[in-house]
Amino acid sequence: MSYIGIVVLTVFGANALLSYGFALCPLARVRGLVSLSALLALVFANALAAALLWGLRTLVLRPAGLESLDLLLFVLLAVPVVKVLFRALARESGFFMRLSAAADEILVSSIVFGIALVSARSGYSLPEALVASASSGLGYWMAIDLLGALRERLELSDLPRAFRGAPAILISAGLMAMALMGIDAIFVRNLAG
Amino acid sequence: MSERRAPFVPNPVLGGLLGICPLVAAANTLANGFVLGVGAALSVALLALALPSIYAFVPDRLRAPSSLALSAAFALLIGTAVEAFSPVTARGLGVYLPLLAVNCVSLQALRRGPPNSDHGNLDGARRIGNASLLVEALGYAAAATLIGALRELAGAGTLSLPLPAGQSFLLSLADESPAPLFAAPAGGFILLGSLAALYRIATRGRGRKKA
Amino acid sequence: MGSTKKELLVENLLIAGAAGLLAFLVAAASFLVTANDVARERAALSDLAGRPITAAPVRIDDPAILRLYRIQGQGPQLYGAALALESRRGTALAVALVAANGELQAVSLMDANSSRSPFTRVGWFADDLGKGGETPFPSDLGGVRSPAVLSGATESFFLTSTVFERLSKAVRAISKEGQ
Repeated sequence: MSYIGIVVLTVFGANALLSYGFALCPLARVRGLVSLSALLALVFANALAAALLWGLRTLVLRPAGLESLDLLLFVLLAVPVVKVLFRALARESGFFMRLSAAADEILVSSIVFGIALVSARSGYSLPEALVASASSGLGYWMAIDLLGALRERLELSDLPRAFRGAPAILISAGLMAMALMGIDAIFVRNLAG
Repeated sequence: MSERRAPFVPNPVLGGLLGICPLVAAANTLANGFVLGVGAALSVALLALALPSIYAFVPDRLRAPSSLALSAAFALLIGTAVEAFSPVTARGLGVYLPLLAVNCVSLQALRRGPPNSDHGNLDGARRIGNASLLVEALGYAAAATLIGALRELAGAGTLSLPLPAGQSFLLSLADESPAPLFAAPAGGFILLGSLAALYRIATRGRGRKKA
Repeated sequence: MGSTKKELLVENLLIAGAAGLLAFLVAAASFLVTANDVARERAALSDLAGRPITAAPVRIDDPAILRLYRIQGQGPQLYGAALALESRRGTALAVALVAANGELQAVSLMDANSSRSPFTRVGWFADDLGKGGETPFPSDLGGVRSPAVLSGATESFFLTSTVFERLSKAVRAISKEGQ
């Protein structure tokens, strides 16, 4: 698959929030737009974590026939490395401190773990895994941003009490996911090769 | 006269919307929902048993990574057990079995930290903490199984469960899939939102003290 | 100060040792389960090929092709493959026989995780072999665009064809290496 195809598939067809359901918990509390530092944290933390896991699987675990240990090594080696890198950045300026704080928040969550596992186990090469994981982070940001904006609108609507808040936002997410269902592997192949 | 009700522990999925990530995407059959629910409950139970040893023997600076590594190891072992029982179910669940390590219900167990001792009763505090965790975990398992069953009924018109020795249980209630949407994540979101609203209606007033 | 550093080192080594023990347990459990899976695949391939499978499996770098087996015996060289076919409508485990030139000879479904998965339909794999069946899927995408066929089935057909293409390529590569 071409890189454009990977981006289209991971942002829309295999969206981290709407297709995989990763990191749904913030859905209940996000309002309005998500900050730039959170977006960059999503993209870079995912890309870095996925690249490290890909390296561990391909260079260490697969030659030894120990791919079953990928998650354990990810937790013991990759997660601390990503944490240390972001913390080192935090000394640069206020923006990087916010970036580091955002990365800290998402690092031990299904978004980073999930995207890293999916990218590393999909048979991609390293550049493809980097592109897939970074654009998955972008796709997640897009979905959570849209749903956060939608949530603000829903709060002004006169919904039945039982549906106010999280139930309404979940149903809205379902309708958005339905809209993206048509973007499958065949669509991407016809569009981007 | 005041009337105190029994403590109400809301269902973590339908009440607290915790750990719903795998339920929306992967719990589209009874088997998947059951495996994910029981897997998460088992993970929480194992962590509740193992974490006191970590707090006792591991220095503060290494507690967080050690706990997370333990959670990851339990998730991998649970995944291996599911693969031994039904390879196709394990394959179908894909990354959601390893992701039990960072399921919100398991992370809650990790974040609770060492139990506080009130008036020196450390064991008592630990037992209460563990009991409420286990009640939540069982509630999660029940909700996950229910969601899987409903999605399979609506999405495929069947209820199926792999059994030991290569057997399987299959109940077919419709010739065609009534609403294939529910087998997809979109249907999972819609069903979960609807169930959360119904749960709110059903539990309105529970857990509040009456004056 | 020296003893504090020493204590820290001892602590770190003990934690590393515990992590190693955990990794050993996970790897051992996984090894046992994989041995079981290999036995199951060998049995299914033996049924398909009519010969016992004794060769050690070969892992190749493809998430859908679990293991390849060189099938020894009289007659043309055959290779057996254990496949994991995953689509949005369900997952299936299948075994396939492939000739040394990459031509698909036979496919058999081992298990599927959804009773309504397209893979469980009789004749699902028949179109790839050109041998017909009760309800074969059309081989060109044009035929699939009829209202009677759901888009999910189209995707699973496309993904399956892609897996068989990759399998064919892998077998040709291994066969060339062996010569």
